[in-house]
Amino acid sequence: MPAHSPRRGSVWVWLIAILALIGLAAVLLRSDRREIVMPPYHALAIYDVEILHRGGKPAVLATGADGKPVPIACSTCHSTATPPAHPDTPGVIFHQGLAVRHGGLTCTSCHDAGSAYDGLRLADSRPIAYSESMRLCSQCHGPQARDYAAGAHGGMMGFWDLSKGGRQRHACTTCHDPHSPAYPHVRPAPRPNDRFLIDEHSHE
Amino acid sequence: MADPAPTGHIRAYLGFLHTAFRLATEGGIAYFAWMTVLTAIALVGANAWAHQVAQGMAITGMSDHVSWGLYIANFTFLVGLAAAAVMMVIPAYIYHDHEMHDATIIGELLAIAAIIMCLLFVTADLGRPERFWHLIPFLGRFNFPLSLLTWDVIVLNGYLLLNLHICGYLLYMRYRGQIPDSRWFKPFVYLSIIWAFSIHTVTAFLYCGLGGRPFWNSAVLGPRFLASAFVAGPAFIIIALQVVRRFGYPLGQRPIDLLVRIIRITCLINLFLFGCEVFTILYTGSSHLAALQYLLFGLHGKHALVPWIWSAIAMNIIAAIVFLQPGSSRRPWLLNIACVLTFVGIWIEKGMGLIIPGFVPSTLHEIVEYFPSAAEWKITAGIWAFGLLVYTVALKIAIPVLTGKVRCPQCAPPLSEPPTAPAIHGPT
Amino acid sequence: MSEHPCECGNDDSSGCSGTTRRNLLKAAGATLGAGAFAAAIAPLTTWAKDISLDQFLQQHYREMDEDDLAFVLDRLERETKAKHGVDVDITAPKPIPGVQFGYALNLSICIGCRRCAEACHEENNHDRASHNSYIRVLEMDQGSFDMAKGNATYDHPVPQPGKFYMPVQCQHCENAPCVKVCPVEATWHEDDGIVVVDYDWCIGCRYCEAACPYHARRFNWQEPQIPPEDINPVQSYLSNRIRPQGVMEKCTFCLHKTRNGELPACLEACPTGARVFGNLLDPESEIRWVLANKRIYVLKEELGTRPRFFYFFDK
Repeated sequence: MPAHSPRRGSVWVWLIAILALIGLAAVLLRSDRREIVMPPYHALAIYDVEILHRGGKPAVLATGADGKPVPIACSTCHSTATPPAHPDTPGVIFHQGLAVRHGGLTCTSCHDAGSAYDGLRLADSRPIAYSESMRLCSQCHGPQARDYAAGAHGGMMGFWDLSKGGRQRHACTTCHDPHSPAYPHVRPAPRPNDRFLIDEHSHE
Repeated sequence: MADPAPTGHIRAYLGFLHTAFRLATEGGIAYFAWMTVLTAIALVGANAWAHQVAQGMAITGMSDHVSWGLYIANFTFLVGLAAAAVMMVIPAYIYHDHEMHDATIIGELLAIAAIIMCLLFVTADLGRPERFWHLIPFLGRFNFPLSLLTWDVIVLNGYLLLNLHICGYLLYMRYRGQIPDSRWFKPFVYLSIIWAFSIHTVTAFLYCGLGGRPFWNSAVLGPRFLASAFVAGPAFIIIALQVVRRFGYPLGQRPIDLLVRIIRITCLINLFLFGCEVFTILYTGSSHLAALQYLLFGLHGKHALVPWIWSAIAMNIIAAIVFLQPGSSRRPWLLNIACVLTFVGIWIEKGMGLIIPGFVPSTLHEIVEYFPSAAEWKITAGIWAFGLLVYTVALKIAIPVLTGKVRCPQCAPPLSEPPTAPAIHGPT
Repeated sequence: MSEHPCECGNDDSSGCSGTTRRNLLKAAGATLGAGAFAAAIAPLTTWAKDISLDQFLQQHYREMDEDDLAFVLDRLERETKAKHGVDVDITAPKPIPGVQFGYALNLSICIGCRRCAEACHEENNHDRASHNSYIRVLEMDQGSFDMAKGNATYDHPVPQPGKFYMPVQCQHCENAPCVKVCPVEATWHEDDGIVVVDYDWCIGCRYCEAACPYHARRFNWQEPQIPPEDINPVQSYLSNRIRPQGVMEKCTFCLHKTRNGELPACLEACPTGARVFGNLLDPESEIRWVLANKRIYVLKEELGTRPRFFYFFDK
């Protein structure tokens, strides 16, 4: 009877549709994980990591006769004059602009009298060279020193892969003024200027 | 069932195409005026699109925060319109409602026009439309089955081909004065029932599979899409049926009655599902609330969508009340107002009211609003005009062919009497 | 609608008077329409002139062999020279075997200076007017990870008390939603973990931009405008060459640098050293040290994207 064949046909269509849906589900629900199988690449440290220290001797900047800043080594004055115990002592007018905001530290906490103030001293009085100032900072700021050594503080420029090139890093004093080490406020780079982004602090 | 002395199909089909062309290019003043207006709008849209391709999508109102807008909103709405043809196919073919048969082809022709509009909207939204060939399997790289967009490409084009074949075959057989062979269209009709559900479900899955957009990442999005499609679609078809009846297509009241009965159910489901969404988001009060708050009440002083969504809700509720009145299908004025109200209401709620809040606030919780630019409105109007053009031409061809006024002259002699309406689609 | 008396059932319209004038009008209308259409889409001709046949037919990056790629790179260099007047060098570095890149960001010492965003803007040849950058820095309230309380458009000295700063960029997710949804596979996961975009394959549908939970992807709404003197000539096919209009782009971990062993531009610009980058597979790398010794968070972990960008605090 002609009336039956459309019904049989429609059963097939429904069956195919259901199978297609099951297939679809199987495909969409399959896991997306990728297997990462490769021997790890280990970068041999052929090139150096250079730390950009401030060189020379500890010095104060004074204005020279030609108007340009002139560094004057500490020992110039202090080989003969004894510095006061605390930098806030009235009369310490030569170190103008020197703000000391470093906890309870005084000048001689870090500057070594024994080397006529051209060197630094560790907490136990052992003298160290001016170029080793980072050891000084590390004594109290251990966590930051540890992070720095692991590459997680202070930044770097150059190569992550030291087998292909070197790296330059800051010293502590590059960013932190040792007399007033709190990181300064800065003006940020310009804000995004997206299409139709209205500059309103419209949150909260 | 075999016709005596069959004329060659090639000759007859060419004659059919020629007749179709003639029917499409002949008519009264009103017809030409209508077509001219639509063509003019379509040309304005085409020009705006050409500028968009040349100058970049910077001439739209979209941004990196709201990266989909009017085009995708209309695309989403129109996929639903196309799917709604199935609401007529089911009673006609599954439940053997003979009177619905005559009306079904009106819906299927609408599906063709709607899918063409969908494809045009997607093309208008592409940043590099000339690279469309990258989507062709084996020629380009088709990320099937992972990308839902590839599913959409398959199902939309498949649905277009299905409906083109069904309508084309039926019209051609009618033109030849022959009874259509079930084997050539019945399986496709049954397939189109499932396919119609799939086109809109796949479109819903495009959105609800994105975890980064919590406003869309809801299981109820698929059902919502289907429910709203099955309100807006039949609403448009009710008006279309009255229009074709005015132009000489013999249709009873039953198809319209049935469509109103369908809308009575689906409009309630649509409102209910929207209510479910609103409750779930409002009651939980998590950060996912932000998008719905932006839509309904405004967020941090940004409230562009608020009047739109409340108008849409009001329109849908008023239309629902009207549809639910007993006898509403017998009062054409009231019925048509309700149809227009709900069509516009769903266009707002499912178009801008669904796409934009998915992007506001952004994934980093920034609020950037979206206002369609003039170019976007022009392109949208142009594509709608083109779609109406296609639909008008389709009806202009179909009605004379289906009512038997136009017949293939070289074919076997026509049936002894002009066929009455129930025989248009042949015996079941 | 009444039929015109001459619309008989015949195809033969001879003998019907009045149709000749009608046909003339119709022909005139059709010609006018065709002319109007040509005028309407005229802007396409200037646009089409900019696209060479080679560019139109170019294959996907992964399907090009060495010779094809060399040819394409050469063509791109010539096109850049013609358009911007700058000699550039576009390479296509391959992933280093045994490398999986990872990136970590220290939320305790980021001060929100946006130098990383600025460096990204300059390194990657972004459009100048929009000040585009792949990095977006959010000023967040201390004690909350709620980005709704964050602010990306702050313009005051940093760091402010009571705030912390969180730069967000592409997380190069293991389970990237953008890779899943791209219909033409224009974006994919490379062997070293970087998610890249083939700018000459992307069709500009922006589905990936909708899918990304981190606002990491950018679209070229128009041709990028860069003064020639600002162009970074060290470029690569998959990263910072000047992108065409209408395609997606995003952070590439500066693969033109990192695949040659260098640090990415954002890391080099960071003055405090909040950024840490390296090979996740090398147990002695800095990134592995951070993952082993710090409290690590990822953004939107509940979405299952499995990012390879980690956030941590010092304390």
